[in-house]
Amino acid sequence: MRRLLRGEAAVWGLLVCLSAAMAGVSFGYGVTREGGQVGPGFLPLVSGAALAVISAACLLRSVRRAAPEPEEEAADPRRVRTLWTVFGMLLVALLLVPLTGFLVAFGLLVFAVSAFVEKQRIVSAAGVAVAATVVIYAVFVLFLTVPLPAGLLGVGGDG
Amino acid sequence: MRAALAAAVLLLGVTACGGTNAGAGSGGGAWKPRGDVRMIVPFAAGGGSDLAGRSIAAALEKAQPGLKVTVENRDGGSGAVGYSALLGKKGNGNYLLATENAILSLPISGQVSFTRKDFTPVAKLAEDGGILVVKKDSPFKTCTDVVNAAKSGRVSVGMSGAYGVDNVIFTLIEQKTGVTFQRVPFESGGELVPAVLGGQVQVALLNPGEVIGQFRSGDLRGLCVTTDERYTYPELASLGTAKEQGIDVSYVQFRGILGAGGLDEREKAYWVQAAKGITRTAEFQKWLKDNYLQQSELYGDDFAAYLEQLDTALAPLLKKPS
Amino acid sequence: MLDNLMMGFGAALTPANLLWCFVGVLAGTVIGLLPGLGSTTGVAVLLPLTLSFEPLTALIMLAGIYYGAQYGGTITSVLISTPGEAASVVTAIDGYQMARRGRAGAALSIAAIGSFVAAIVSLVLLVAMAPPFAKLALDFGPPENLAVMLLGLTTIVSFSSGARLRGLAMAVLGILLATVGVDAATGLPRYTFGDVDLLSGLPFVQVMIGLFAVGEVLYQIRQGAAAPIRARFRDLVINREELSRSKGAIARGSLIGYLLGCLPGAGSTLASFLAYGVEKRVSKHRDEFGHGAIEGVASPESANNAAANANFVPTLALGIPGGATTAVLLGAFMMYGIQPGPLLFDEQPELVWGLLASFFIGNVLLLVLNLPLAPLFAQMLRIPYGYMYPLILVTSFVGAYSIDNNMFSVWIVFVSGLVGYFMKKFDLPMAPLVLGLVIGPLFEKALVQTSAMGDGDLTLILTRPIALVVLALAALLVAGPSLLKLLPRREKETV
Repeated sequence: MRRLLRGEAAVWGLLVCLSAAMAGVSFGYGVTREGGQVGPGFLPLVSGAALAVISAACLLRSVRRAAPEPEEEAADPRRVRTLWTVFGMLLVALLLVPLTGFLVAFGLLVFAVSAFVEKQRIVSAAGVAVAATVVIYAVFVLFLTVPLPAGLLGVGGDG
Repeated sequence: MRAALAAAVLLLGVTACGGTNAGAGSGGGAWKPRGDVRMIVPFAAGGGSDLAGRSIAAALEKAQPGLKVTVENRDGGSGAVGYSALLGKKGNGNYLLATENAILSLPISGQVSFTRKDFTPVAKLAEDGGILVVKKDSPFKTCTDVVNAAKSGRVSVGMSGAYGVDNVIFTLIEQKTGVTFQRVPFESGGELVPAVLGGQVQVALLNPGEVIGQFRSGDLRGLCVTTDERYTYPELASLGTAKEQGIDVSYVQFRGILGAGGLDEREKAYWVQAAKGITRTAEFQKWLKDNYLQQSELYGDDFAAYLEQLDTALAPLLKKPS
Repeated sequence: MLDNLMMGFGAALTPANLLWCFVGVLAGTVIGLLPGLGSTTGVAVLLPLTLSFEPLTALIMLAGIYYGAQYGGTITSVLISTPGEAASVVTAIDGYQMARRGRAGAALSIAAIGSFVAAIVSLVLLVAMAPPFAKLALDFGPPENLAVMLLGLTTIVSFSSGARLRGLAMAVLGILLATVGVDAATGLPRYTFGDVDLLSGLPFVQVMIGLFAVGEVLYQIRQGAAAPIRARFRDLVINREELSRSKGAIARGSLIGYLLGCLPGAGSTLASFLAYGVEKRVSKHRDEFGHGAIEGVASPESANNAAANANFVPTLALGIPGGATTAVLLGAFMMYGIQPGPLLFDEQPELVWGLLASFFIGNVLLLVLNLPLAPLFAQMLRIPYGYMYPLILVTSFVGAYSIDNNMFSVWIVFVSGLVGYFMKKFDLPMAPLVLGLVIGPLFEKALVQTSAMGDGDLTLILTRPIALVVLALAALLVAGPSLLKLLPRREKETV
């Protein structure tokens, strides 16, 4: 519970910094144009400043709240680990795209998540992965002629 | 189940083979694109540039049997996103782009990292003139009226984008006559038509294809055209040129094809040759007629020379004093 | 009028036109199902296939894709919280909650029924009086649009489940993030750091896919993946109470959608948000909103579909695109050699009335298609989540890539997915963020134009009667609850 609260304060803190920075930069874009017309920096300045104020208020509120109401039970650490495993696999799949091409990278992702995270039988995980890849190839590449990145292997899509 | 799986694997294998030969296109003799050709349109689907790209793509397919040209809209940043996408395809003969004046006005603006020299000019195919239009009950009868009104008061004009042809023309008029217009920014010609109709702006510059329906119903009126000579289309022949009305401005939008940069001679030769067949197709002629364009052909190096000439003329006029 | 419509049905009811109408609505439903691929992309991609058709047949099919996609987008919003396009974001809020409670079938059915009723209502209005509405739409200049955007922003309070400050923060964040990219008026790049892909701004459809679809998957994994929902077949069908609760919502949604759809540019996303906001104000079941209120599905779906049809008002009556997809359709008109404009109804009566008649036919087809399919689709939730989510992830990323064939989109989905996860974790509402992203650029455009028209003086808006009326509506929507609090007391006194 403590941690969740600290996390929330961090989110608001981050938003304060982001909005203040964006509002600061907006002066460089010209808040008004000749003749006092609204310039390119106007909306970034106004919305940035407004967000900074709102986030600061929320930050204060979440820091001050002494006894937080029970919002939710803490998540099971194992599940949190699973979550980050899947997220990591997603990142790996995205990084593999230039190498293996889109279809292979995401086919592998389906297989890896099904087989190792969700602990399905290897054969059925492979079946699901291949079927998904084929369906995506049929719909996106053949029907909608989307040139999916083929990677160095050159599988599916164009070069 | 097993059979289906085997079939699926087989299908995947076949497609894999189908995919690999798309990229490699070298070998002796004349070059030909392998696999699908992509025509990038640097503006959103539905506008004049999109129509141009799609019509030229269809005409190209007809002129070169067996060629498949897929149109891809890459809009954003007044065209900057689309041109930048082609920039990333350097040396790839399978990419074309439906080009127009943004190729010059974007680099002059100083906001993009490319210039016309980063691409391979293939062909200029047509020219699209501009018409200054007003609502039917407007007091203006000619472009001279507009300039005179701007001398003594405010005349609001609609702009279809920061780097549009209309911006160039209104800037030219301002420089020639010493007036200043009140500019109201819009994002496309499609937004300008209702703005003029609804009286939100007094004058706008639009392509004939964008306003012909409103002309025929009488809701909008043309004042003058910005082409060098009057139109020969009967519906537009009565409109005088800006020059006739004493405003020494003439500027048109060109429509053409650009290839990626860094193409070798054989690739360039193929595309110039292919483009030469375009104007003979029925598809192309229909597009010209439906949109009231003028055929105007320049190929390869001639097109490059045209761009260079226009660029040197425009740059000093449009470069903003910083 | 009726003669014309009869002639239209005569033209639309040929076997070939019926077949392609069916193909169109089916393809549209599939395209709507795929995340990221909205009707605009669908129509643009399939346009070349129709070039060899008769113009009427081609337009019937393309229009079928357009409104078919409106139906399809609902299905994934409800079942897996993955809106197919921005107009379905609102549906995902209560629709997904209904699905988690085993009422997916009902949510999908009411969406189909609401969409159908809205389509018929808006079509009747379209057929009967397109020209006056088109004329009215022309009176909506920049100051009026600015007022409409402000009205849209007032709906934020409806999406923040209690914590208004959080909702406001997210909406303002959306507006702030929407300023990334080239400024439309001056061509100045803002917050792009020299990156070419950022020139066109943060692509909100990709952001939306990341926030909703990927964020939800990550959050579900953390929560220990909800158990598959095994609803009895009886529970999959919509019941009488749900139907009667939705009546008013559908009527109001249809009207709001039609009015906003007539305005070029405002569009169906704004309509769906506004309809939801209004419904939350007037509904007797206000507290259920956000937790699976059926009105929360019925009203935005009706509004979204009515707006999609109303987009044809300026398109057909004036030759001005009502939205992105109708712009592509107008392009298609030109490719078939038909000159759109105010004379279209007079010069091409068979084509226009045939097209309008096909809308009626297409919507009937969609209702017939969707009603029995609703319980069937709902059965998909029986699949254990462990099998489902890898597939949701893959389709989200492929769908995002196919929007503009760019890996940049894919990375945007990835990052937004992470953001979406944290937003769920800290209970920050997502809908206001999407609303801010969608409205931001429109709001800024109207603001800049108004200031240009008034030479820097924004009080111009106060001299325009229509703008004032819209602003008064906005004020009513904000102050409404406090006024309503006074009402029931009086009622009690009299009873």
